[in-house]
Amino acid sequence: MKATYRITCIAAGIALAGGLALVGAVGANAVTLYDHNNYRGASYSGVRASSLGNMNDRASSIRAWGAYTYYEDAGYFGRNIRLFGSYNCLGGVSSEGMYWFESWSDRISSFR
Amino acid sequence: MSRWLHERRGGRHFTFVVLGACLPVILTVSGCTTGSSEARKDLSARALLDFKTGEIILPLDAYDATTRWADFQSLQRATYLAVDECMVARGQRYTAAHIIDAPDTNIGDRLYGLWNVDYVRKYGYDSPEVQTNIAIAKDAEAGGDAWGAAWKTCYETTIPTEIRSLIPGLEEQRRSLVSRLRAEARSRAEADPGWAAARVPWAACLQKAGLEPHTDGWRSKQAQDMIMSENDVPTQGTQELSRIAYIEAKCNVESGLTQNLGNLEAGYQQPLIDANQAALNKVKEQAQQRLATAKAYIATHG
Repeated sequence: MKATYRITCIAAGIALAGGLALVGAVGANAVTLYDHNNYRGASYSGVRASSLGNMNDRASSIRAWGAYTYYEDAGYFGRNIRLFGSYNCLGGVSSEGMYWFESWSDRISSFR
Repeated sequence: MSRWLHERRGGRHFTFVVLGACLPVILTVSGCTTGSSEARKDLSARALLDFKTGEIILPLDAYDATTRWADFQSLQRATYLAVDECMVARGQRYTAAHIIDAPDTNIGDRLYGLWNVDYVRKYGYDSPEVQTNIAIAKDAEAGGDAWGAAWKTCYETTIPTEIRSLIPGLEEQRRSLVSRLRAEARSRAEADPGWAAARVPWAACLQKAGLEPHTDGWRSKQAQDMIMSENDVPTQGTQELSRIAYIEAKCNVESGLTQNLGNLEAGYQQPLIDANQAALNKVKEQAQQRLATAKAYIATHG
């Protein structure tokens, strides 16, 4: 699984470097979490979420227009990461409180 | 990543294998130059539970600018102000820049479950709305795709570089020394017998109150089921969930769960700080510089 994430993320990085990234539709929500890299697949949108429901532990990319705190467990529990803006690939990311080479992909369960 | 989470989510046992092999990079972080996995613990180190802000303050928190809510608010506001200035020049609005969220919108830290009884009595599992988030959503809706394009241009290319870099990005957080030391200390704390032992009185307290401790994590099974069943509906605090939240917080305090686990992490952080003091001092200087830059920008643009 990890290897898959890495490869996908590298590919996404190349695509973005090539100027293929799109702004994306803006809706009435501050944050949208997507199942797959590059803002694709099933999504969840909201101003905040105590639980992402069936999107728990699934998000691989985030489109956001401000700074938000993302939590590893529902109810704003567990370790968190504060991020500003959009990230097309969470797989290349790890953060405080977890082994530094781990990823936030498929880990977020709540945000605010 | 805690041991229980690894077990729950499967497929990550590889991580432990790697850790067990004591990768050179981990050795560098931990100072484990002999290959020994023995971890030093400072029994005098303590976690500070700030009941006013709901924050669990650990020794390493002094070395970055994003952990404490008030500090992050400064970084965020300066960034928002810069984006707003650019957006206004493009005929758009970013009104979040002119909103200061009240301190009680800070939900605090729930690293080891609910523990701030007064806050939980007021809000249960939830918290007040974050007004800046709502403002962003409203502006985005009103401005449509043109707003999104302007925001992207403003943030990525127009605002001053020193402001854009105030909030560390994903890679910066991944690579930061503070993050790595935190992770190492957490790993050591989880391996300490005290980690599992701390659950025992907490679980007994929940059971005495008629709740079943969830097998992984720091909440009751009843709360977990209610939260997960909400499916996309933000927690607005049903009476029953609020009642459970209060019991969980009381049990957490009575059993000393958060304090004990926080002390354990603090105990493993302190020796790592001591071993990396010179490098951390530089990191702290950079963090203080970030905050100073943010505050100066707010003073002149706010």
